[in-house]
Amino acid sequence: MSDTPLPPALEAAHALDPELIEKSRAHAARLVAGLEGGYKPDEEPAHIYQAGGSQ
Amino acid sequence: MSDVDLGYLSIADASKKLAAKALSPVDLTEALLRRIEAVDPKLDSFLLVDGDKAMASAKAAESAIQGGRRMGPLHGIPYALKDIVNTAGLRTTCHSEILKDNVPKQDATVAAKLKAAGGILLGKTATHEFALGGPAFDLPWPPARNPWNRDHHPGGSSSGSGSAVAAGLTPMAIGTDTGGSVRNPASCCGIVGMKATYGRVSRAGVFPLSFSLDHIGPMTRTVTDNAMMLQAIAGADKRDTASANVAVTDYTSGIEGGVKGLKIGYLRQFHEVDLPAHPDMAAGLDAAVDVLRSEGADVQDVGFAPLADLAATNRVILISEAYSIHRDWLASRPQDYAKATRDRIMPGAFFAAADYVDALRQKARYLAQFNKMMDDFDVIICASSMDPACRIDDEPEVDRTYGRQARTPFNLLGAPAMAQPIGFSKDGMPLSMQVVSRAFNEAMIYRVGRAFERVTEWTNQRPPVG
Repeated sequence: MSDTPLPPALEAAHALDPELIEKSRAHAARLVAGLEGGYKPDEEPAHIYQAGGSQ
Repeated sequence: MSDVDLGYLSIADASKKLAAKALSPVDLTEALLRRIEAVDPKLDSFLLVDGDKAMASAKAAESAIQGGRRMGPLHGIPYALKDIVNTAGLRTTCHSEILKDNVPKQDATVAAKLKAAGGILLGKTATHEFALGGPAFDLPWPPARNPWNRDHHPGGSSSGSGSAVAAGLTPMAIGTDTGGSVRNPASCCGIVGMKATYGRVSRAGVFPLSFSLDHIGPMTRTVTDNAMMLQAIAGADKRDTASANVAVTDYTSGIEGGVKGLKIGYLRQFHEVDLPAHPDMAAGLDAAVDVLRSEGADVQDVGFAPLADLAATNRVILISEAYSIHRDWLASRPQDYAKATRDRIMPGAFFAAADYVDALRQKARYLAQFNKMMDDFDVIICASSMDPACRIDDEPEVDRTYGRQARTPFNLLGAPAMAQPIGFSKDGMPLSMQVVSRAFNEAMIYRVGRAFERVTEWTNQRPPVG
């Protein structure tokens, strides 16, 4: 997870909804926790534009 | 025929009548436009109806058919497009303030293909904002309603397409599906929705939600109609970098083949262990599988990765890509999005690049697992939604139930998956199942779906909307 400070691009959204940023940060962390992890160096991603990738 | 009967005419039947000159495209289109005018104020399934253009297209179709220049089985058949599909010269809003005045210069490939097949475009249908944020009441247009009970949501994000098809306002509509958005409204509204293999239907000219998970799909009332519609929109397209250069199968020639001897995996783990389903849905799924077994299928239980983990992988990819697409607008015009849209996209600001790559590596693991599983089966049956559609104004219940689904795995896997009706809950809302297969095996899904449809009574039920 990124621990960088709030990017300027989020300031307007933050001003609109002060809870949004923290809720979003927590939600992102929950989702990342759902990845198994432990990927070996040679475990490649499924390529984004591999059409019919489940072949 | 009455307007209501014309409204619920299947594509297959209408096509036969049109070919035999026993039905006029003009009469059919006029009837559907009258139905939209009468019924849609209760459903809000259309954002835009272009009656003049539809009638001009219908008259051209009639003239061509009368003159012996019939272009194929969809010539003269009306359709609708989800309003994230570009239409040249016709407003395409993504149901958003951000694009409320957007008029594309070029048709999306899927729109061009339906036009080239002789279809009659009726109009553009409601969607969750940018195919993600909804149902929402803080947008320029209201959300679509469920024709089985207009107090309930119709699913989404292709909400208007699902509602309009189910209500007999159009026999077919295009939806898009990134985490289940064709199959969810199909499930909620009691119709058939196919998310074909990734790359099977061009995404060109359709506003993206997530480049690597976006699919375009047909929504119809019957399985055969769905196969006919997919036939018209499938195929390679140089405008889409993910388009698959794989020959298009004939989706209807083997559709009556039945299931005798087919191997079917029943993935009950999704709705019994991972996300225990509403009892009506669970009973409906068991009954549907029993039907397939009684038709001669060899049904065996099968297991797969936990739904929550599959969904998390899908969401890391989906939200990362969606945030990349919307980042500039979220910075400059956050107030112009629905709250639901902001809430769903903003987590994308907090993934590290390595999180996104890890999700793509996780996807590769699941693909390997899925391919191994599919060595043993022709199709998999599993739940689509775990719950019947709830009230649209019950925000906590909408939030609780929207994620209780088993559709996202098949966006992640790029595998074809179809939702179809299997009955009704005790309070009268549609129940559904998914039929899933390996890449480019849509014809097998249609064959199984049709075998079920043929011996059950759940297709072509008419909701109480007039």
